[in-house]
This record gives sequence, C-alpha cells and structure tokens, in this order.
Amino acid sequence: MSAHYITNGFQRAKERPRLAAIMYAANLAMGLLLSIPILVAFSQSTELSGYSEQMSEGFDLTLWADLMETSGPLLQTLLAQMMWVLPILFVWKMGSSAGLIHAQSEGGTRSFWKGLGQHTMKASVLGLLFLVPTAAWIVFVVIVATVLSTVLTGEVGSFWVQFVFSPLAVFLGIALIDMMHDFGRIELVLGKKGIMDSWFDGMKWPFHSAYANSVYIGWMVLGLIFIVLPFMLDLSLAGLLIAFVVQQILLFGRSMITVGWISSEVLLYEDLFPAPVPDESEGDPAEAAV
Amino acid sequence: MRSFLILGLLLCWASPLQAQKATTSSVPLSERRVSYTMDVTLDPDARTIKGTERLTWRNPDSVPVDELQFHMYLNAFKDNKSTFMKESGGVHRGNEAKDSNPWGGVNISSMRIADDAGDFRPGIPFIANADLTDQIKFIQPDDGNVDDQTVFSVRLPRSVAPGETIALDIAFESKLPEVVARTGWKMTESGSPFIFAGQWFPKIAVLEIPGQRYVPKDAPKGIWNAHQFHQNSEFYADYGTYDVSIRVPEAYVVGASGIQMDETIADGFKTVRYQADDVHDFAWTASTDFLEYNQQWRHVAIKALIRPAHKGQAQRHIDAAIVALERYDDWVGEYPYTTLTVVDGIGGSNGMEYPTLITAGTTYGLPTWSRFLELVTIHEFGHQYFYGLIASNEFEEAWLDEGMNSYIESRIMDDAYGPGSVIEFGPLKVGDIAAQRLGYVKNDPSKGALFTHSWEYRMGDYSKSSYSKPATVMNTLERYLGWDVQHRFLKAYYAKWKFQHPTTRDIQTVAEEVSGENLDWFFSQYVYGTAVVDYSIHSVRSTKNEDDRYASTVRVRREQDGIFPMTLRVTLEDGTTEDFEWDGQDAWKDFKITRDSPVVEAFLDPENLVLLDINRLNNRLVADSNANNRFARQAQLRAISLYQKLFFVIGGLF
Repeated sequence: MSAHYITNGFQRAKERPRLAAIMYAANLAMGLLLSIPILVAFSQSTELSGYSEQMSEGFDLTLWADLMETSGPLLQTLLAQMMWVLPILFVWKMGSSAGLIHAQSEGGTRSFWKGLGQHTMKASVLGLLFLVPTAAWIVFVVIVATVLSTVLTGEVGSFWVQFVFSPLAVFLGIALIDMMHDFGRIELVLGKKGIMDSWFDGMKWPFHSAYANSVYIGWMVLGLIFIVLPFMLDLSLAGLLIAFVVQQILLFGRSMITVGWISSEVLLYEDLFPAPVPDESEGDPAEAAV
Repeated sequence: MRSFLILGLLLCWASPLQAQKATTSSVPLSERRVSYTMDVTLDPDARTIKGTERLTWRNPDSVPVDELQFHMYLNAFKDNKSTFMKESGGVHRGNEAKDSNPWGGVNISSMRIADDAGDFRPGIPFIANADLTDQIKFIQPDDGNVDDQTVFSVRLPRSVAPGETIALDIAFESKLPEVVARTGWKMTESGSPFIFAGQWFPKIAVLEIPGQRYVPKDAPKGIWNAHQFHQNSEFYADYGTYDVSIRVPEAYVVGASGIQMDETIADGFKTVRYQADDVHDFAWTASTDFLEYNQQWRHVAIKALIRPAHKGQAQRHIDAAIVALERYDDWVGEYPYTTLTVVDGIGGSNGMEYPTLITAGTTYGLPTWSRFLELVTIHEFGHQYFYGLIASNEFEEAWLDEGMNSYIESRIMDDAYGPGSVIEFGPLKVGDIAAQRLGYVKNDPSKGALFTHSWEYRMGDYSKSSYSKPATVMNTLERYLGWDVQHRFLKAYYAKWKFQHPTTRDIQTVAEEVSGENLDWFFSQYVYGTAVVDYSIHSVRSTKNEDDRYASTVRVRREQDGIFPMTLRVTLEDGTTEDFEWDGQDAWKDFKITRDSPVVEAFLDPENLVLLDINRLNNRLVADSNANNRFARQAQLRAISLYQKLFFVIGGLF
C-alpha cells in the first residue's frame, strides 16, 4: 500500500515536470546568486597569478592559505549573505510546499502559484511553530545524551554518545517532526484548518496512519540517496563540467522526489479525508497550468 | 656446515647478552657525570611514589664546587602559586585537572652524603653521613617567585674537588598530581589509576663549565644551569646511568626508560628493575589496563603499551615507530639503544618524550585517513635524537630540539606517506611540510625569534617559534643547500654532538663546515632574528620595438625585510623559458628582456624552494593576454552545486 502511494506520487510528479523544474530552478538561482562573490574573489586573486591551472588540478594547502588570506574580506560576505538567505529559503520552502500540496491535490489539476500565493503566510507561521517541537527534541536529546554519558563513560562511551547516538537521535527526531510538519501543512492547505489546529493535528499523524510513516520513510530514503550521490560524485577537476552537469541531473531528480514526496502525502491524505466540494474559485480547470 | 653451527651457537650465546644491554655499545657512550640508583614503591591509591635515591655526581669543573642545584619539577603542581600554575592557569595543551584534590609535589625527608661514591667511580671519602636536609633552599633563578619550589640548592659542608665524585642518599616521596602537563595520574575506564611518572624524582641540574655552551672559556668557574618549571619549557640534564627498581601492585603493567633487567613477584607486589645507560632522564608508567605488543626492529625491541580502547591501533603505533627508526638511522645516525617503548597514555601525559620511552596519543575510532597518531609517534620518537641523543638546552633553545625534530618529522611524514601525509581524505591532501609552513607563515610571522628562552615568548609565539617556524626554516635551508649537503650536515651534527649539549652557535658551525659556506646571513635573519620573506612580481610589460623584437620589463619586489636569493623564471609567448638569478637585496628590481617574443609570465622561486616566503600567490604574474580564470570558474561551479545540496538539506529541516 505504501508502495502504491509512492508510485502514484511519483507518477503525479512525472505528469507535471514543471513543478520539479520550479523547485530545481529556484535552488539553482539561489546557488548561482550566492556563488558570485566566490567567482569575483577567486578571479581577482588568481586570474593573473598564473596559478589558476595548478589550483584547478589539485588541492595545494599553501596556495589555498594565500588565497584565503588575500580574498578573506570578500569571502566573509558569504557568511553575511546567509543572514538574509536563510529567511528567504525558509519562506520559499514553506510557500513552495504549500503550493505543491495545492497543485497536487484533486488529481493534480490545480495551480502551484495560486496555492503558494494563498498559503505562504500561514504556512510560514506553521513552520515557525514546528520549530518549537524541534527545539524541544534537541533539548531532550541533549539531556538524554548527558544522562547516557554517565552510564557510557570513557572514551568509547563518549564516542558512541557524541558521534553515534546524538546525531542519529537528532536526525530521526527531526525527520519525525518534518513528517508531522508535512501533514500539518496538508491540514492547513487541504483541510482548511487554522494554524494551531493544523499544528496539533499534524503532530498526531505519526500515530494516526502507519502509511504516513512508511510513505515518509520511503521518500526520505530516496531523497537521501539523491543528496548523498551528488556529494559523493567525484568532482575530478579534469571533468568538472561533466561532473557538474551530472550533479545537476541528480539534483533535478531530487526536485522530482520533492514533488513526488508531497504528491504521495497528498494522495494519502485525500484517501483518508476525501476532499470537500471545491470552492468555485478553486474549481477552475484552467488553473492546472503551473 | 660447521661454520654455520658455530655461528648459530654464537648467536644463541650473544642474543641473551644483547637483550641485557641498554645500548649497542660495550663502552660508555657519554661522559656519564651522574648516576642514579633508585628503589621506589608505587601506592596507586595514595598516588604516591616513595623510595630512595643514590645519586652520584662528578665535578666536571677545574675548580671546587661547594653548592649543588636540583630540579624538583613535581612541585610545579604543589599549589596554584608555582610559576607553572601562574603562567598556565592550570591548563596545559587544553588539559586541566578536574579532581577535587589534583595537587602533587615532592617531599625530601632526608638527604645525606653517602659513605662512598657507589659503583660510579671510586670516590674520595667525603664527610660521610652528613645530613644536608636542612641545607635545602628553594631558589627561583628565572622569575624570583618565592612560592615556586621547582629548583633548590644545597650548600655542601666541603667542596667537591675537580674530578671528585660525591654520592648522596636521598629519601623522598612524590605525590603525583592529576595529569595536566605530562606527569601524574588519571583514572582509566576500568576504574584504576593510570600512572605516568615523569620528572618525578629529585634530579641534579647541569653545571656548565667554562667553554661549555655559552659559558666563556675564560670564566673563573662553571655556572649551574637550572631553570624553574614553566608553562612553555621542557628540560635539561646531564648524561648518566639509571638503575631503578619499581615496586607496584602485581596487576600493574609497567613500562620504563631503558631495559628491563628482572622482575620478581611477592606478596601481591611486582618489582621490576630497569637499567638505562647514557641517558639524561628516566620515566616510567604503570597501568592495569595496558595491553602489551612487541616487535623487533634490528637491534631495537619495540614495546607498545596500548589502552584497550585503542587496541585496534596498536600496529599503527609500532609501524610509525619503525618508519621513524628507519629514516633517522639513514638520515641522522644510528639509534644506539636496544629498547623503545611507545605508551598510549591518557590526556596530558600524551605527546611527550623521555629516553627510550615516548607517549603517543590517539582517539577511539581514529580513521586511517587521519595520521595524527603516526605524526605524534614519529615526532616523539624524533626526540630520541633531538633531546635524547643531542641534548640541547630545552629551556633556553627549544628550537634545537622541538624545531629540528619537527623538521625531520615533516620530512619523514611526507616521505613515508606522500603528499597527504597528515590528512588524506578524497581530494583533500594535507602534507606535513605544508602544514608546518602554514603554522608559521599565517601566524604573525614577524614575531618570535627561534633563539629565545622558551618562557620569555609572547603568548602564542612559543609553539610557532619552537615547532612550525624552525621546521620551515630548516626545510628552506635544505632546499637552499640541497639534500645531499643537508644530509651530510645532519649526520655531521649528530656525529659531533651526540651525548653532548650543543647550542645554536654549534649547529650553525656544523652547517657551515659541511656546506663550506658562511651562513650568517641565514641564521641572523631566520634563527636569531625575525625577518619575514615575501617577494612578489609587481608587473610584466612588453612593447614591440622597431626591429620587431619585444622589450619586456619584469619588475620584482621585496615586500618585507627578509632577504633571500631568488630565481626569476620568465616564460615567453613562444613557450620558451629563461631563468635569472636575483640576490633579493634591493627593494625592487627591473629585469629587462629583449627577445623575439614578449614575456607572458614571470615566476619567482618557481621550484618552491623558499618555504619561508609568506605569500606564494604573489610570486607569479601573467600578462593580461594570458589571464586564466579556470580556477575561479571551477570554484563557482563547485559552490553552486554545494549551495544547491545544502538548500535541500537545510530545507529538510523546515
């Protein structure tokens, strides 16, 4: 049954590849924007240095240290950029997820942009609310790790607590909360519930439906593969452009997974809670265009 | 066949003898001014070592000596008023005592002149049984801190004549501190105290006689060289022999300097006797947790005492020791001792050297792409030479041991493990020579001369000026002289100064003798001084003459005060290259080159010989026509895909 949702979710993603293209293009655009200081700084430092080829062909600690010293002030702007990129990324993620839910509901015939326009604000507030259980979980893991440290003492115990248990617990906990968030957002967009109701109802989903858990886990594994693969891809310098292109294909695949993931969750939700009669404004078949 | 049998019998006969000798030599290798015979008992619960010490000391001076000076370094941990505690705040290399009663110290209950000089050398009857305990007076030669009790002097009832030997019987009890800096106890995972006894007994200082080190030849008498225990300083002592019996609870595994002569077990206690010859210190360790691994390398019995958590890394310790033994044997000289013990200690006891015994240091799960274990083991082994066999004064000229050792360490690491000798993780490769260079050139390079008393360095300069800078200085000297000359220099330095106390002046003299070159310019700038090397290509310009030839001008600049001969390599548009030599003296210089093709690239130090140059990026410049931003574009592509991946990962958190 879980496979059914995953397969159908992927099918819906395939039927509307433009949604994945939007996800991919937005990421690419932000990545491109943020990379400009790197291009400028490195060009200034190496273009006339004669070291460009050498630095392209292998890591040289000496030259990199010189480069970082020379380009330091400019590269520091990268950190400053994160200050404004992270909020934008957050709002975009909330809005685009709501847009995808809207677009993939009711047979995948509705508008992404309309969903984004209608729900971004509420979805963002809901997203902020889910930071609360996330923070609580992290605090809980820290407390458990501290207690565990008194039992699993010594170097070996510390290794397992600090490098195995804690990151794994944080990861699994955040994954669980992310799943609650996904369904909370669906309650907000499709269930037309208020923010607080969506928050509470979202947190019930892991206990509400076993399929919700298995669908989420299935897509999470696929998503991890499509993130780890580009990381593992050897950016051999000779074939960097090819490697970059292959990475982009994988990252587009990752965007497809995002769309398929949300589509599966929408399908599951719609099976459990059949959609109410749509408003007149939402029933326009013309809005199927992304 | 018969000859084989005889040979076999000889080997069988010789092997046990070989095993009973602390060095490869049947005659003393050093002057042996001192001897220690100790009989001590460890009480692990009380963290004390109690026992007796028979010390003999021969007056090497040409005039009588009526005062002796001693080190009592464990007193650095007596309270928070010692110079060490005041300078360090009780933290050393990030290690801090956490026990409610972390303090230690040495208490001498009795110091008497013995009846004779023991077996060291027939002594002239002294004033036997004269009690010197009341004569012990703590002195503070470095900083006048009256609360510091790490050095003391004893006024003798009569002078020790030139060449005469005095024997002292000392009864003492050492209370070990919780390990902060090198020595003490630390609780193991199994709940028993791990013991590391370094600088743990009253130890006589060095009387530097006229002509020795920096004491003028015409000085009327020798001078005691005894320094207090500081945050940034190590040790200095005379060569001699040690015969030490250590009594510990039977469950304890012991490792020590020298060779184990025998072991007896009685009443739940084990007594192990060690002998170390031609060394200037003696350290030992004991733990119920140690796992023992043994391997023979030529004449050296290597013993690794490894904590259970690290047993999977035992062979890495031994392999690293062999890597070091092989290269030191080839590059510097023979390791004359028959034992080497590598100890996997705890916390602040790690990363330390003692004669024939070193502490390494690792962590559970250390991956093979990270060779910090190998680096530390090779570094600490290197101290068997630069500290152990060539016993420079670590207080006053730390670069001669730490720096020379770091230089050879970096050479060994890169030779043995390749360009990613320290870290080799995918395309990320960090070599030791490059890492040492980085530790100097990007760390306020104009501060901290190598020739500086270790306790007088500005905060943060000690490690740079004792480790990474001298490693870079010597790597640069090697590239300047060539490995062949440098190799002969290292061997000559060892041959001339082994079992002695050389100085900076002495190492320069050997380098000059071997190279046949006056190296004042080099030592004055980079050893005694703080000159900084930075050369750059300022501009490359070409114009076409009426005869269709190109007149190119390359302007080079000296950006800092350091002077070093430089090679300028220019590349012409037709692909040919030409080298020009520059003495590097002037602030700037124009090289005018008229050829059929214009100069398209100028490169100072193209072979990367001058590692002291703090900015290599400005050593090279191409003409506008040859501008190349491939690296920048690649970096941008990498950054784009990295950001994209990060956005997906971060997005997963929302």
